[in-house]
Amino acid sequence: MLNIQLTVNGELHTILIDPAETLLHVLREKLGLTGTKEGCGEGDCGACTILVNGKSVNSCIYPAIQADGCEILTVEGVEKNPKLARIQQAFVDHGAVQCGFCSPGMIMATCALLDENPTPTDEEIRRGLSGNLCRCTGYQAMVDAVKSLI
Amino acid sequence: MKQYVGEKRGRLEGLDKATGRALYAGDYRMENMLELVLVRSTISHGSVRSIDVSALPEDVMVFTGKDCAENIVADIFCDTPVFAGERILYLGEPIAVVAADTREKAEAAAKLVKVEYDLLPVVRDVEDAKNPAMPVLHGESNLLTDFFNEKGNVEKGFAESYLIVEDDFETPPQDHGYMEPDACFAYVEDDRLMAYTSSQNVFADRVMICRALGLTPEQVRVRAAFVGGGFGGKDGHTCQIYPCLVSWLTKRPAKIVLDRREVLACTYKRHGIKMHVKMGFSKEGKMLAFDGSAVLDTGAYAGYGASVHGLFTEHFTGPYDIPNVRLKTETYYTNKATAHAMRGFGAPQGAFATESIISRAIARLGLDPIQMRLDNALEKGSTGSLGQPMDHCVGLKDALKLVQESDLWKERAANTDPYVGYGVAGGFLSCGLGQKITDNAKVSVQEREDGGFDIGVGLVDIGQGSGTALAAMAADLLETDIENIHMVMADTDKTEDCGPTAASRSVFIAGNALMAAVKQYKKAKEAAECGIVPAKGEAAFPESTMDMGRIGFPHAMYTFVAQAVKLRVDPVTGSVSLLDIAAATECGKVINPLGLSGQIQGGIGMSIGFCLGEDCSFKDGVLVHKDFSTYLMPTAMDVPNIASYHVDAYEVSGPMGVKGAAEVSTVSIAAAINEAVRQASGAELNKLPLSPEEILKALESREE
Ligand code: FES
Ligand code: FES
Repeated sequence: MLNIQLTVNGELHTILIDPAETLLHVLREKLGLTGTKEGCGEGDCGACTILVNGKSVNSCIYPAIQADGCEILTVEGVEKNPKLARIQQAFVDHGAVQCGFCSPGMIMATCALLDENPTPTDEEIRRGLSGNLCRCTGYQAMVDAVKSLI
Repeated sequence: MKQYVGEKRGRLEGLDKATGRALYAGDYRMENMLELVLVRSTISHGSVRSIDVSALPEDVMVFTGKDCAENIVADIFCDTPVFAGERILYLGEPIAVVAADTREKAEAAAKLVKVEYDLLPVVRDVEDAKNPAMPVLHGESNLLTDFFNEKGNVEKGFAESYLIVEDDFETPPQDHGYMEPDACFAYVEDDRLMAYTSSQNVFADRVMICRALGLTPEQVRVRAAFVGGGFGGKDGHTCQIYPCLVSWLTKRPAKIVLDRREVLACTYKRHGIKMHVKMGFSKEGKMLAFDGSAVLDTGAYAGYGASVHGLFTEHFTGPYDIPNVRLKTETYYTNKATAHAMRGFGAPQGAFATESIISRAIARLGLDPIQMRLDNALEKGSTGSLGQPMDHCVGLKDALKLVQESDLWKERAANTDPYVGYGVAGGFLSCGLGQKITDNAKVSVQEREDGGFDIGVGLVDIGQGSGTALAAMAADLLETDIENIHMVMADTDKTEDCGPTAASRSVFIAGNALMAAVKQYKKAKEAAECGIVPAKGEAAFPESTMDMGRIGFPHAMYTFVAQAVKLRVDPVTGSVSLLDIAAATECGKVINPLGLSGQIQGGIGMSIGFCLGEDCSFKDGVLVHKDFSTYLMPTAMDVPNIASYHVDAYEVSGPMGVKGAAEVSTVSIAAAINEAVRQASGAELNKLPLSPEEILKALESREE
């Protein structure tokens, strides 16, 4: 076991972890941040997407130890940032939230996408979201939601 | 007064989900909680000789069938044990459950349970199931159910035909692919068992839990947590009994969350089906005769297999008026994960075969694909393939015309790229549970102190948006703002049994019950003059006037679609890129256009996977593609722009004119894609998912 330091949604935490522990496990089980979901646990679905120092990662395969000293943004932190909270509202208003299980990951992927490229084309939006599976929407509503923000 | 019905609206609970506040079953936790992991069989067929748990650490507990009051899952057939023992019928069947204070510990302990087996030959497929030398899995034979019917005179129809087209088709099983793995959380409070399930029917959950644990309904409260998709796959025995059993016996909170590989390998599937379709046409393209036979592979247990068999059969011909129809269908048990309800309920498989035959006939006769379908479309007053009357609103023609007028279809004539193809297909799907199945609902309206209303509905909103649609209806009926409507759903203590969230029935049946409740409320309010009056309303789903003596079909009403696709095949790799989709739907009055578009686009996305990538086949009882890196569901790059067009219609028996809509979206696109691929490559493909190698082969022979 060892200690790491994480700044999660602006708050600094010192956390005792197992060296093999994933960042997703730390967030959900140690910090109680259950907004980040686990859809596969193998890096294939994007439900666990969060931002580490501004870059989107699949937290289910990201070793927590590697995040020592990093800034983490999860869906719970998005709401507190009015600029990013617009993404959440746009998702709801355009019907991009159905069952909602993919939504936290999709919204984090959208944060990363718009940060890197504030005016993406349809194709770039689809590419930007292609690491995140959604079984409910057929993705059209997400593309519409992201387009409404640019 | 503002009208909510007909207005575009995002989910009422949308922000809870988008902010991560919404709790799904796996998100619950409590002090002193146990986490569970199932010990699953490593064989497909046989029996357990011994279970050795001596290697397990002391702080880990193990439970088996002996710990159940009755080791039976209460469902239609009651053929499934909670824990397998005497008989194992599929690979991954639960044998025991391990409980520890962390999941990691439980996982490690589950691996230390040693199980010895006696093996039996594996019934791999329907051919094996029919083979008298192979073991019988249930009862006297491996046949679960069969059906034969002839309407008109099929041989005469073929004799009068100008063109006959026939072929064999095959579709593999499909996984529901809901993003939230199955989960359940349970705890004991005041001597009562409390469960949060990820399920499509909390009242059925309660029946299952009570029977397995030997409890009375009063002792158990089941609530649906937020449900991360179901699509039919959570309408049954998922994993809800295990944490309930452990929690009840230990009095500690208990939680189970399946991992994705378990979900893919062991949970319910869409039926794999082998079909033969033969159709006869006049020179002008009139459909004169249909002869269809099929065998469905239902896997290890009955599940909803018999119901899917019925709906597959009922929808096999497609939504056309064909005077002579012969249908012969059979469903068999095999040693695989159980096939069950899945969005579309057998209709997408039949549509793939039949619409492909229709498209090939259209090409040979040189007809227009939409006009030919219009010439044969069912309409109000015609009879379906079984002879059932179409007495309700039948809008297939309107849907076909909307596709005809779409940009996608209009630009078709101008295309010059030889690798681009356009396909269209029609489709339909019944609403309601069908003949002779209790299909009703009770909804309550309760005025609140704050002037708002609680609307109690015992159905689960599994993500499809029934709560939002019903709230809009309630606001209009009660003439109030939608903010004043509070939906109370899927709680066995607070709502009444409304049956399953299935069969595209929720908004129809609960909407009718809601209308009755509001009427009752208004009457009581007038009589009481003041004070808070509770009110209840009931409704029953209409049944078909035709009775064939069968349970579950035919139905009194159907929803209709026409879907078209534009795509391009890659001449180098044979792979298919979808470029555009136009989808038209007639489902009566549209309550929420945004919600309906979402259902249509989502269902199409799911069937794009069915057509182009998702292969859930089993080899010798073992799933071939075991994870999301090999079981390929469509991403945002695989699904094109989907324009959703809605027919403006009205069904008189529905609440405010509604019919069901959530499932029909899955029915037609695979056949439309298959036709477009044929045009773009010359490949006549009969097996899903479509094979790029076959497409390439066809392209090469075309170019020679
Ligand atoms: S849960 Fe991390 S990618 Fe699926
Ligand atoms: S909204 Fe259900 S998985 Fe995306």
